[in-house]
Amino acid sequence: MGKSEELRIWSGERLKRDVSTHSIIPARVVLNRALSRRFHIIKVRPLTLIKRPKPVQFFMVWSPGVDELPLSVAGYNASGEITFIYEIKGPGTRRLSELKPDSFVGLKGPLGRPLEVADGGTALVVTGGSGVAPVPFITKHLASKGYQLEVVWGVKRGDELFNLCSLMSGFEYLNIATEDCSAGYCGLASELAKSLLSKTRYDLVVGVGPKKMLESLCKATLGVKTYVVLEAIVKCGLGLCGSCVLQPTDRLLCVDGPAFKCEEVIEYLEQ
Amino acid sequence: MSTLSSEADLSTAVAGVKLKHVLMNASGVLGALPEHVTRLANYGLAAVVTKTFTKRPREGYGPPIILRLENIGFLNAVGLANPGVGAVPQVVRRGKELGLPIMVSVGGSTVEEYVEVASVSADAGADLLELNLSCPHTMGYGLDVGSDPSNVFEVTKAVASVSKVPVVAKLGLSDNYIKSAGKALEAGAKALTLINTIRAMVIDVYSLRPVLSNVFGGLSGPPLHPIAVKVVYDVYREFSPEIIGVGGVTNWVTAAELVLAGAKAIQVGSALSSNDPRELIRSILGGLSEWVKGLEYVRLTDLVGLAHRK
Repeated sequence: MGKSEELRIWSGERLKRDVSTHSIIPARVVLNRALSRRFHIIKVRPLTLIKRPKPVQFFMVWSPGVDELPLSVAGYNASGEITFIYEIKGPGTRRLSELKPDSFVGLKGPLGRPLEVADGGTALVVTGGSGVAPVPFITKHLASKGYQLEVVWGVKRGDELFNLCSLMSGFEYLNIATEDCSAGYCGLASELAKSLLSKTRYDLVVGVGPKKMLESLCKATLGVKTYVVLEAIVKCGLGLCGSCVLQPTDRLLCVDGPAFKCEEVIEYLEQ
Repeated sequence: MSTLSSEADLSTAVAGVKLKHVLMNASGVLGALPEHVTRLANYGLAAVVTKTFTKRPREGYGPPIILRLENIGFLNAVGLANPGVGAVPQVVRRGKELGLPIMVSVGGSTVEEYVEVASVSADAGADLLELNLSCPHTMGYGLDVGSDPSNVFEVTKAVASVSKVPVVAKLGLSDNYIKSAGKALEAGAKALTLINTIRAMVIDVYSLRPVLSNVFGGLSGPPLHPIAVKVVYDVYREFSPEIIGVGGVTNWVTAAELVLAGAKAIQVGSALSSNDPRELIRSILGGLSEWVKGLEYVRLTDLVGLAHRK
């Protein structure tokens, strides 16, 4: 094989065709590093054309030979690179954190339904735990739609924090809450959000984080358009295996979500 | 034989169980929990087939468990993940509450396990039992049973002889499929489900590894379809049994082909990953109805096996 042919293969020219969102799409790791004690960031460049991801969509990210993990998109740039924020939870994410630039991962996606919101207004984005992963992508999208944005970010310990502002649009007002009281508001993200909600009327609220936080957010935002972005065990991502069913509802996170209106999933959140 | 009614009669029956139309899901698509049954019912299917239940819960394989192929097929190795036989009664109960016939897919690694899962399912009120004799990717739980006609006979006989519920044997592609089909019928199966997925694998050329965590899996979707048509055709020609046809049904044409080959009911599997499964089912039924009327028949079941006409 000639040099030019070879180059074309690795730059993806040969692979430009209709790639399904459920095929394994090869992608090269561009960067992969720790953001804080808890969070890591990985940026990958797909070798083929992919469908443009939209906020809150996710990819199944395959660490070859180890595991395949559902990771929501934290960013997507003009050169087609996709960023994910993740935390090490098991062998799959540990292996992912060890991948050096230029190694390969496999992607399936983008999966899930994009978050559809009306234009403009004021919005509050509340996040806690690993829910921070899609927040940069969500806030950039809302900012581009003309929203004035306030963000609440809660963590357990101050050393989980990283420079979230540098990943967002730059127009958000960021409120930090820490449970160890080492920075910002002393307490839970949901409590800080409640106090903001009692003072200001928002046109839109988006919550991403643990179930308990989302349940309390849904209860504090009755009458406000509120979306919650959920996490569940996603195995197939196709709506076939049923592992991400949000009991006791019959909704599947991977094809119906991951964003839902509160009323669609309140029974699930209350469980 | 023209009909004045606007819709053709798409009703059918499998082993004496009446179905309002011919479509059900293939086992493995949802069907492990009551909520899954509700979802399948909302797709508009005439019956629900459960995920294969085994005696003990099985976690199944880790992801990747499924991928879509360049040739628009699917490859899966889920590993018979299921909550175990203890969860069968609540799944069956949900089907009953929704007024839908429910066929429990029964798995096992020994004859005794098949019998145990079958008897719990029958006691729970299952309308039909589908013996999974052909899972291609789980050792000791399927194809290694179903490709040996004497094993097929043994398992089917053991279940059918104690079961008060009609037994359907689900077989896959093997060198012996006609013989296995014959043995299942001889052992007391009232119908056959043909066919299961076919063993296949995919290797990623960048990371240089097989993609599925189980290395190999079962091929489904459109690439399976012409093979399923052939197996249904061959088995119908040999024994004319009641057949539930399954394999790559994505529209009314692929369903109609299986009917002409000899199937009186149809299962839809991979295609339920469509964006709108409810619309998919509606369009398959709509197409079948137009087809039956256009040929000036009244009932879809009048067309079962017609491809065999000389």
